[in-house]
Amino acid sequence: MSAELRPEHPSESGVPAQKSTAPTVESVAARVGNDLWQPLFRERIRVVVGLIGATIVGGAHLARIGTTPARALAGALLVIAVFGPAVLEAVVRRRVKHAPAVLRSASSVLGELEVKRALDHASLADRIATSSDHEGVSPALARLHAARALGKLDLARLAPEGERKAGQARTIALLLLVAAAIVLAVAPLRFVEGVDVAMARNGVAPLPIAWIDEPELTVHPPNYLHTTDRRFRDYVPLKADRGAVIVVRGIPRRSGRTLVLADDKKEVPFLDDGSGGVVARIDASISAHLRIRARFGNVVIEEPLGWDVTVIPDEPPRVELEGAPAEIEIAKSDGSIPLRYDAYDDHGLREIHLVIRVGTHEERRVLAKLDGDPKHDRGGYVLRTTDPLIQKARTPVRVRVEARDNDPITGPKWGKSAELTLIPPVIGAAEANRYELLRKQRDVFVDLLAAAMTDAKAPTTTSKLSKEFDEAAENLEGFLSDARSLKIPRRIGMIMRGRLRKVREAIAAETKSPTAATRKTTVEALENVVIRLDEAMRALGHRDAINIAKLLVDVADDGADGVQGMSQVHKLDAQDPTAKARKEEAKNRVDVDVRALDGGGASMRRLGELGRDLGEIVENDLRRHGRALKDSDFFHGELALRDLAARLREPVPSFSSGGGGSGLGFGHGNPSSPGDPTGDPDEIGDESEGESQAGNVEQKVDELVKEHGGAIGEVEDHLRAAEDPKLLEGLEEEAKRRAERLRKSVASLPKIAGLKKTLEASEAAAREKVEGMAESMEKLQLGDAKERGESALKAIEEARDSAWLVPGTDERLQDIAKEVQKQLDWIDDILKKIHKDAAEKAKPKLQGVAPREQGLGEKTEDLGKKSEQDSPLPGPVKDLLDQAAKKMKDAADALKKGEGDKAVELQKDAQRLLEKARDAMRSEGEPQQGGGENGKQINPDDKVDIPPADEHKGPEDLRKRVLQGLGTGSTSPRLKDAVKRYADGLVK
Amino acid sequence: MKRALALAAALLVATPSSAGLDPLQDASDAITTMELDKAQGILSKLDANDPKVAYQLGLLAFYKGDCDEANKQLSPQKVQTLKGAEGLLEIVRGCVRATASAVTVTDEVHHVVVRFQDEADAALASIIGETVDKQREVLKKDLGVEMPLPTRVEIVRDQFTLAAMTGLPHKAAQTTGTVGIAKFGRVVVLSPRAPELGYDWRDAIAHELTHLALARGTYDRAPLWLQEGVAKREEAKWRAALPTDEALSPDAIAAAGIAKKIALPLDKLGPSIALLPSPQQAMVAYAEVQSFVRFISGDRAGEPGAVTDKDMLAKIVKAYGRGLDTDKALLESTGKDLAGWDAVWRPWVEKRTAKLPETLGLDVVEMPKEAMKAKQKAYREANRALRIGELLLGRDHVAAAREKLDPLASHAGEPLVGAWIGRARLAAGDAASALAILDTKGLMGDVGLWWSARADALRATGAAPAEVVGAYLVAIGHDPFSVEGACGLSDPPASAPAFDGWLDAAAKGLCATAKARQLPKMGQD
Repeated sequence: MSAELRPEHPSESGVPAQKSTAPTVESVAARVGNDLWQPLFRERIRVVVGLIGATIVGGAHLARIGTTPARALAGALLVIAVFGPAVLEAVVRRRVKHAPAVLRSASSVLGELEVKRALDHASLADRIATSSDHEGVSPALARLHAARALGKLDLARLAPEGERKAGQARTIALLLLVAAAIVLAVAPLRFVEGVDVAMARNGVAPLPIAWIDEPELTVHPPNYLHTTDRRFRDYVPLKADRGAVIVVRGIPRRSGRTLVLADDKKEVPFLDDGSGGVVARIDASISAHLRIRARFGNVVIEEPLGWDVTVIPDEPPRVELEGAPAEIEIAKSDGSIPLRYDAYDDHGLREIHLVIRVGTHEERRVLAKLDGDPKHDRGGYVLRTTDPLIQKARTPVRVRVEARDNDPITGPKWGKSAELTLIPPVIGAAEANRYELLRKQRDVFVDLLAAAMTDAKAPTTTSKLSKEFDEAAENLEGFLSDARSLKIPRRIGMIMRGRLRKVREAIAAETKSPTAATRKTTVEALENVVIRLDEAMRALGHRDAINIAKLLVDVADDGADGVQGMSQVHKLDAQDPTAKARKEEAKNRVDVDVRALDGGGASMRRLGELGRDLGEIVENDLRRHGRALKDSDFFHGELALRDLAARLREPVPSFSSGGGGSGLGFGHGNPSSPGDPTGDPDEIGDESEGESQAGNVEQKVDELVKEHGGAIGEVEDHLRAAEDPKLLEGLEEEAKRRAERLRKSVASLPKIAGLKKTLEASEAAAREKVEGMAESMEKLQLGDAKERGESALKAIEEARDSAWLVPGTDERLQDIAKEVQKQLDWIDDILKKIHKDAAEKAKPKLQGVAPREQGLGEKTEDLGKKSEQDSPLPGPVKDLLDQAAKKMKDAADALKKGEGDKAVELQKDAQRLLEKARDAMRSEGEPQQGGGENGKQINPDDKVDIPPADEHKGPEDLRKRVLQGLGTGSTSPRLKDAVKRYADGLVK
Repeated sequence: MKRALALAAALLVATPSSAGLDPLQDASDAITTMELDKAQGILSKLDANDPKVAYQLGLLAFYKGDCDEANKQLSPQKVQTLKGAEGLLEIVRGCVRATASAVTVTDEVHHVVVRFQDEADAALASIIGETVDKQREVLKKDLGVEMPLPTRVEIVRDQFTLAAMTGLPHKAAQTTGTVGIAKFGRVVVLSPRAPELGYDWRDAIAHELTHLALARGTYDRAPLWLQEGVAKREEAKWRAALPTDEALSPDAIAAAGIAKKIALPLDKLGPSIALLPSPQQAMVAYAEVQSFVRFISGDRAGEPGAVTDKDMLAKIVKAYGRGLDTDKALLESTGKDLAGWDAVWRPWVEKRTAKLPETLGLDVVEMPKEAMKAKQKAYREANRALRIGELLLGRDHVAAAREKLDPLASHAGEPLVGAWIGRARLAAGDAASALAILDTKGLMGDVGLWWSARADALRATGAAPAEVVGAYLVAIGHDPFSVEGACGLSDPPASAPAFDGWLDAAAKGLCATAKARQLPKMGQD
């Protein structure tokens, strides 16, 4: 920059320019540089300083806008200010080396035309001088013309003009500098902010600036925590519950800035609080550094200080169940499993549940409902083995306690305890034991049969056989009614009792006459016992195998789910502190299921053909599962259990061959060749042939009961229709009088009966009934009056039980009873007359009913006889049927004679006997009535679960039972419709 | 044997004519004919992301028995949009489930790979190998089809799995008593432990292998009557003939079926005999196709109109292999089409009536109702006597047992009855009379229990050791997991020639497996 601006080219002729007197382009250019431009260049420092000052201040204000274009433009200006003059000088320096160009730059001062002409002449002179033939022109002449043209230029004008330009430059530089100084002086922080924003990286300016005075931070905890606000005036680390509201107030140091409050994820604006301050609210959702910022477009300038806020999450409740995790064998418990828990929450508990899971079924019971305040709850629950859920469970029962907190922010959370696993007795063990016991019973009779066959041609061992049979029969009877083991289905019991009776009869006959013929009968009877026991055993085993398979489905599915869980926790990072425990828990779950399956499979293998078949499948699939898990191959381990579950869902034999044969042939449904399936169908169905036959007999008795009930109704209808109301005429006054006497007799008894069983209540009840009898008498409804009178006598007797409490009461009640009885006798006399008259009138119709009654008697007799061949009935049942048949025949005789009352009585007797026989058949050992392996009764003190309204089956069943019980019991058919209506009213 | 529903359309449309033009079709043909390496080679050059290629890769994996890989290839949605892919995937998934962690045994001696769903069946491996090996030779000779090595066999535990792995409905398998299916290049057969008394499982394997050979030789173009007829004809050729092989004449059964109008026309048997509505109809259908195939294969040479050329089957298979349809293949090989042969065979077979066991229920003349009832009653009583006899024998009351069982001697042709009578006599020390009742003459079928009893009787009467061992071998060919058969074979008479090493090991393995089952003593269950 210090070099002078003059042309550097030497003269073309080689003569130094300074020695020539004629002006040359170079000499003129040198003058131009010296006189015109040199003064301006002398001022270049001032100009640069002025420009830089102005650009920095202006650029800072431009950058303060904060947008990317604004910041870029500011940066560009600054660069131009700093480097522009240097660049310009470099350009000029290059240009001054070219004299014509320098001369041309002075055209505005020396005249454009003149400069052009001079340069043209100079150029021409140079060309002529350098051409070979000088183009026919004298080079000297050409130079002369050029010199003249250059000489004509007024070089004296250059110096003043140069000085003028220098002065202008000085002035502008000074003005720029002054302007920048003024702006800086007026708003120095804006300049700082602008520079700060311009230098921002990632949207944050490097130089923090305080924006607010007297900052105050308030933490407002969530309402559900019921805690007070906390205030902070300093920038200190602080903690806030998740969901708390953090409020920051302060006085802004300067106006016009967009202030915001920010954590690491979000920012909220400060608003005017109406009192010269600003306020901002932000939710505490994450732990973060909370700070105040001023926002300039995309850039923020933060305060130097902020608050480190640690957000405390609302943890799910922690629940400890005493003893868990653990396994408890239900069979080894003393009938109850005490559960004690402690539930904790950092803020408050709302609810505690007991969760019982059996297979895929889960049941929740509320243990406690809390108001959300307590942070700890301790409680207990006694889970009884008689609990229906536990009692029915044949697969592992998993019990845990869950607690719910009161977090409305992220929603209530449940905390779970570890699980107690209640292991039910080995699945199917009881059934397998029963099967084996039944087989033992069968074998005893097989041995007995063999013994009977040894001297069949000439029996000599009848008494020994008889004794051994009695012993075996007693054992079998004991087994059939053994309450300790699983019950034998009643029909099997009935069949066996019937068959035993036949053997007993045969041995009795043989004892009287020990011949080959009588022994043959005995042998046949024993064969029947053996065959029926064998059939029953196999049918039962078949049914049990199916039932156990169905139970194991849930276990296999649960196990498969467990393996899936194992697979998930297997992927957990070893660094995860919960990993080990979770892996162990998942493995334990699967282990329990595998043990249950293994036990169930082993039980099935003891249950005959189908059980053995399915049991082997369980065994094999568990082996497959085990192999996979051994290699940590969870996918195939799960699949093996899924496959098992799918198979057990179809508990059919592994091989079947259609069936539908002709009933001719032997065998076990075995194919004689593949594709040539000629085997018989599986002969073991849901029930044995004996059970099926017994079922038929039972059904026939049931039909007989209904049919005979209809016959009674018919006779009663005829009698009722024949009753003559005229016989009551003239009795109205008498009846009224007697009714009045009845009312008087109870007038001293209290009227209102309470609910409690007090003497007063009993007396009131008696009074009510006696008055009811009186009312019926007044209306001459004598049948009704009689019933009410009998009921009143009972009520009086009940009242007398408490009469000792008040002296004289007993005597008074006895007097009332006498009066009631007196009126009953009067009613009876009248009714007898009416009935006698009615029977006489209905005689023809009654005789018409006699054949029906006779037929029913014969039918009953035939039923008894036929069952002797197909399915002998137990002795007591057969006796009842025989007696009923006799009564029916007697009733038929009475009907023939027109003895209506007698016939009805006999019919009712027969009906009672029939019903008794039916009930006896039905009560031949109820099938597994809630017994199971435990067979324990429900303690009346225990909580009784009431089925919810939506479980409609229970109420419907109850309704059916009530209707059946009331409608088909021993109630007279005369009242059947009324009873049904009553029952309907009870249960609708 | 029984073929399941044709599920993969790709298999059905396979034709050799397109060779070289369409690599996918070439791969499909190669898979159908079990040229799995060739198929692999073709497919490896194609874009595996192409759904059609993925489908073929899945099919190939399935043919190789790699159900997991097949599942992986077939599962993507884009593959599932292809025709037949959904059904195939369902079967593949059934296979994945059923074979999860199953045991695979490779019989290097006989070039057979057997996968056992039930590990306890693994003792059968070498015997399966021998059966397959022998049957491969039979098929090469009779059908001119050489099977690729190794042969893959699946032994499944039950019909449930058989159905899941092949697509045959479980109900259909139960109805017709299906025990095996040849599909996807593999023989899938029920474990002999599935039926209580076993079944002729070695014949079943031979039967199914014949289906594979036919599929290979004909590009899976053989119609059902040919498939089943040939398989029935070939199933027992791997072994020496048994007296019971011809006990029930297929001609007579077919004749009875035609007379009772339950026989279906040969070309109207439906997709599979396993899908027929009753075991009786299936039996008649088998008899029909067996009778017909024998008629046209040279077995009935000399009968009026019957084919005399013993190599006819190989010629027919070859004709199919050239892409001809049934009528053209028959016409070219035999000079008549199907209708032409039916017109010759049907009148012939209708006259081949014979007395059949009444237990088959194929009596042409319906028995009067009362007579039928009387018959049924008689059978009920006989069954009752049989059961009581079993129970008495189970409790070692031998004399009493014989008292109940000996009167059933008239039913001794029923293998179960004969077996129990024989057992009772053996228990009584009367081996000679046991052997007399266990005579093969009049025997109506084979049961392992019968053959093991006969073997014991033969041994007790000092019969030739080879005959004893032969009887035990037949016994294990039906019920390999009965202690009587398996342990009898593993302890042959001292003078018997030594077994091959593999057979000795197999017999011992079977005996150990049978004992491990801990089945209740006979007559004690």
